[in-house]
Amino acid sequence: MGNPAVTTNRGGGSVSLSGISRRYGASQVVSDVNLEARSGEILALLGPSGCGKTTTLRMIAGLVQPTSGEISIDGKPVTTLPVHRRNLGMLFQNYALFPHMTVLENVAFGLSMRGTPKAEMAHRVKQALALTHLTGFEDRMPAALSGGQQQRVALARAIVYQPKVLLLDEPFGALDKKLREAMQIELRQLCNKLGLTTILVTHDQEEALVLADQIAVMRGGRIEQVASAREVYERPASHFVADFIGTSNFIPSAVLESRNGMTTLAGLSGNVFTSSMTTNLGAGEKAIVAVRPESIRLTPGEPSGGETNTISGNVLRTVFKGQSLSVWLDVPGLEFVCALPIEAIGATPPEPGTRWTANWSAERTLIVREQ
Amino acid sequence: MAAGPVAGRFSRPAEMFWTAFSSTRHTGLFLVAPALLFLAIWFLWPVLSMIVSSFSSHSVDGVMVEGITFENYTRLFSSDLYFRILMRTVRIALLTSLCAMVFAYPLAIAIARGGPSLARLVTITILAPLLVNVVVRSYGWQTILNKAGAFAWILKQVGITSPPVLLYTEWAVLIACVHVYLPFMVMPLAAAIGRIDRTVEEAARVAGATRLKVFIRIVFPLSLPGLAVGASLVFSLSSAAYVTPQILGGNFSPLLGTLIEQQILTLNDWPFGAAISTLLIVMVLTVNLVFLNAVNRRFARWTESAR
Repeated sequence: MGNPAVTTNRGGGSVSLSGISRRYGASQVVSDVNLEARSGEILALLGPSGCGKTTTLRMIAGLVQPTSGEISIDGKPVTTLPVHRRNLGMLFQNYALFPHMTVLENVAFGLSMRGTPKAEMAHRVKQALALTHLTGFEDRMPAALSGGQQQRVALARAIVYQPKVLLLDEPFGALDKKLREAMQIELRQLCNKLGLTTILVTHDQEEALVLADQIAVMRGGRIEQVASAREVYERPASHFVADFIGTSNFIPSAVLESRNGMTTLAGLSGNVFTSSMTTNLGAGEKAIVAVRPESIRLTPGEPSGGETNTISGNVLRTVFKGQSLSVWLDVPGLEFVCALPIEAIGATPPEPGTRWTANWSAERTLIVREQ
Repeated sequence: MAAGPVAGRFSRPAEMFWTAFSSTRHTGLFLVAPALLFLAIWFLWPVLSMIVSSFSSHSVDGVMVEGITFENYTRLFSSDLYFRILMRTVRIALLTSLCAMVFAYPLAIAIARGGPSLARLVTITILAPLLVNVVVRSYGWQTILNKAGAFAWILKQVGITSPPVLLYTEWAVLIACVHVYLPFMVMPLAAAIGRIDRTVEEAARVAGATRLKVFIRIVFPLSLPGLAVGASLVFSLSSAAYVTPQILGGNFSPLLGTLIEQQILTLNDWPFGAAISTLLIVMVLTVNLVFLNAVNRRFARWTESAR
């Protein structure tokens, strides 16, 4: 069938931040952030709490003034434009619905602020409610709705006036896991359908991976890396990114040589690693080899010798995690964690105390900067 | 005796009392009992006996006639003078509430939404007058509103040659009442505004509302419960005010309080004084019940839950 009335809003606005900083007294919350969200793209600001991601989002909304730098939407500077004139939609962590208004009044609020004629308002509200599967809830009060329904009302309220950009501040934090996953998929489809430029703040790496076209990983008020979900995961730019997104084993190493797109490194206790990642680090310089637990294959016993990208140790403990078995190997200097897919477990699964060897391919050997 | 270390800490009767006290459905009753008892003895009983006395005797040419009677009330409603005073009392109480409301909103917003130092400053400024006796404050207003007072002087400086005489008019009473009862409006209002989720206001601003629209559509309706409490307090207090109208209104614009004082202390007609007091209580109670009921019904809808 398709949705008949949605096609009008194709093409959200592009957002660009150049040199944005914000200081509160002595503490620099956001430092020199440069970001670009292209029209129709979903950009996630990802980082631990206190990394400045929410402040950055609030600066785009206009709720916080940057100390320096410039924000523009569709190429037009909006840094000094008051909040109510920026034409943005925003979803708050606690939904922030108007408790004294019905669902209908909540959704219609933005349109009535814009002086939209009655007939058009009714039509657009109806459309937004249909998009968010809220038809029939018009006369309910927010307090009489479940968390998921309140979330939808907040979403309908934010998209009804066809904003240029949709801002989401930890929007799914208060929902349980099942509902959160369903809402994430739904939101992603909705944003794509409306072509809305969306900027999402989250500390949940999984949420960022599910929703975002581009992920900007933030730390201490700065951007560590901006890249696609896949690139951030497979080619993390720093130790921090590799650690924050997914889990990684970090092996302190030194570069031996780098040529023909291959890098050879020497780890502690003489292990040699090869990586298909190029690096601008010279021979002898320190680097960290990062290996994802799920890239690792496990074989019983000692390595056959002469192979690269192997590390062996006694099994410390194992934990069954549903789709995989986590195995911790006792390697000098670190606990090496491997995620063994259930179907890859052979007749003799790793038992604590037995000796196993982990190996992985050069494509899965990540080289990250030291801090 | 008791084996456990916990049981050993209490003597047996105290322990039994504690068990009976702390874990029954009467616990709440036990907790409010002292205050209820106090009010029953020192407030409810005197009020009831006052109402009874307004029906049990009346004065004929200064002589008390005992017996069940409605004479005091027919006298109250048959005279135009008393009705005018009643209307004036209601009018001043309503106007005081209204003016206090207008002044209270900016102050309450400053307390609830301003920085901690601004909030503290405003709170102290508003509460400080409460430290000064109401008699002293009323005489203070008298010197300000005097024909040769500060107010007249300022008006003269501005160029108004014949300033209006405010002292001993309803205006003087109104001004002083607003001043005296303003804190009772500001504090509940500030509490109500403080309870409004800031992100709700932010959501309204992002959705396109100017600060004025945010106030009209969000802050004002959501602060109504606080406004209701404040208005109810100010209305009740100012309709029963005695000292301020007495000092600033004089005998030219008496209120019910002044009338009661005259009947009881000057004319020694206690039953009639009791009848006026009863009328005052009934009026204040009715206005409060109607008003609070209306606000509560509206507020209940906002918090109704799915369960």
